[in-house]
Amino acid sequence: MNHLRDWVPFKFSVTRSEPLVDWCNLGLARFIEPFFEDTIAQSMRLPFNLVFQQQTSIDVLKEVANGTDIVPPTGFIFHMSRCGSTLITQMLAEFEENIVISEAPPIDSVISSRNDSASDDSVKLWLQWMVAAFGRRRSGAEKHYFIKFDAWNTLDLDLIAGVFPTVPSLFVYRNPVEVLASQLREPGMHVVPGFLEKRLPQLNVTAALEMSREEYCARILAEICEPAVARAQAGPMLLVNYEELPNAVFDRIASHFNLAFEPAEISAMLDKTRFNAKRPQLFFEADTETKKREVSDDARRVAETLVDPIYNRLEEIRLRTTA
Amino acid sequence: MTSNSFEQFREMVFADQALQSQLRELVDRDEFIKRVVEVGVARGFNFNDKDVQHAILEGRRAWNERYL
Repeated sequence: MNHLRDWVPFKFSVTRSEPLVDWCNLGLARFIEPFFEDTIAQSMRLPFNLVFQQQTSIDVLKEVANGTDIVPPTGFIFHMSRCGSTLITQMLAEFEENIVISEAPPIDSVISSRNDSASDDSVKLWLQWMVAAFGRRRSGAEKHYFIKFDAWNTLDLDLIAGVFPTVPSLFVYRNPVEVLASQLREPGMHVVPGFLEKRLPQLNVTAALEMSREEYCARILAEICEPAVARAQAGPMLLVNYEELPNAVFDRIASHFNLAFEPAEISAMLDKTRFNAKRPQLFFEADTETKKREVSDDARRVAETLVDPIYNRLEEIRLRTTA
Repeated sequence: MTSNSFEQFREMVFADQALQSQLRELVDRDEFIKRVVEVGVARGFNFNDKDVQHAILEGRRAWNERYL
């Protein structure tokens, strides 16, 4: 087991019904970059990882997951995309005691395999193992463990909550027209026609061709937000509006995830907010007004008719529960 | 073509944490290739620098094509 200490999964696939895991040797490198894939890409530049990256059967993942020195998940972060979720993870990643896994493709690949041939029972086991593999203590300082899922994983909330019923979760969202403006300017994978068609057959490529790009994008955002309404109505999911950041991290999110921050830690996290969360080499610039100005009338109309009603329900629940 | 011997060496490295840490530290590609061949020969494996170069190229290809 010790020989696997420094290895983390970077890919999960099912080939001819056999689940396979690809591993990269991270050494003691932490996941401090904005996204999981950025950290892995850095390690894959090393000649060692190019030569010795390993592909194993799922049994090796099970073996790793059954190890003893594993931090259980502290909190799950779901989001509608382009809404401040990366700011939250970057603030949490500031501390060595936090493991922060942000939009890890192997986690989404495990979850997505339920849309292919894998049974729900197998997927649940694999998800448990994959999550445990990232929760291993590697430096010894790790105490908390956060996972930010991909935006579309709200469509898999039933499965995730079924596997981890006691892990607190939150959903981050933002004024729909601002998210839509961002997605139209720089589209994420989930708004590419067809990308989510196994989860949302009604929004397949054929459907995408029958509507404007703005409408398709707005419908995807609405589908991503809708499950959060049901979950938050039932009680266990904290709702966080972009407008509440960064301070929500120190109060509502901290309390929901059972965390307590010292003034020096708050100050370190606030320092982080001076920079663009996704491109930390750039300073943060508020873009709410720019985004509102740059959208077309069509985009504004579909945001208002298709996503605003769900946003308003989220706001109603949030304001009621925080009052 | 990467030799069987090099494949066996890869498996041995995967099972040896100390050797992993030692080789992982080598950032310079030429230095890495030289050291891997030295370690391989010292442990009785039969491969050369071309095998390691080939493995680097294959590894880069596998990484670049990971979602294809």
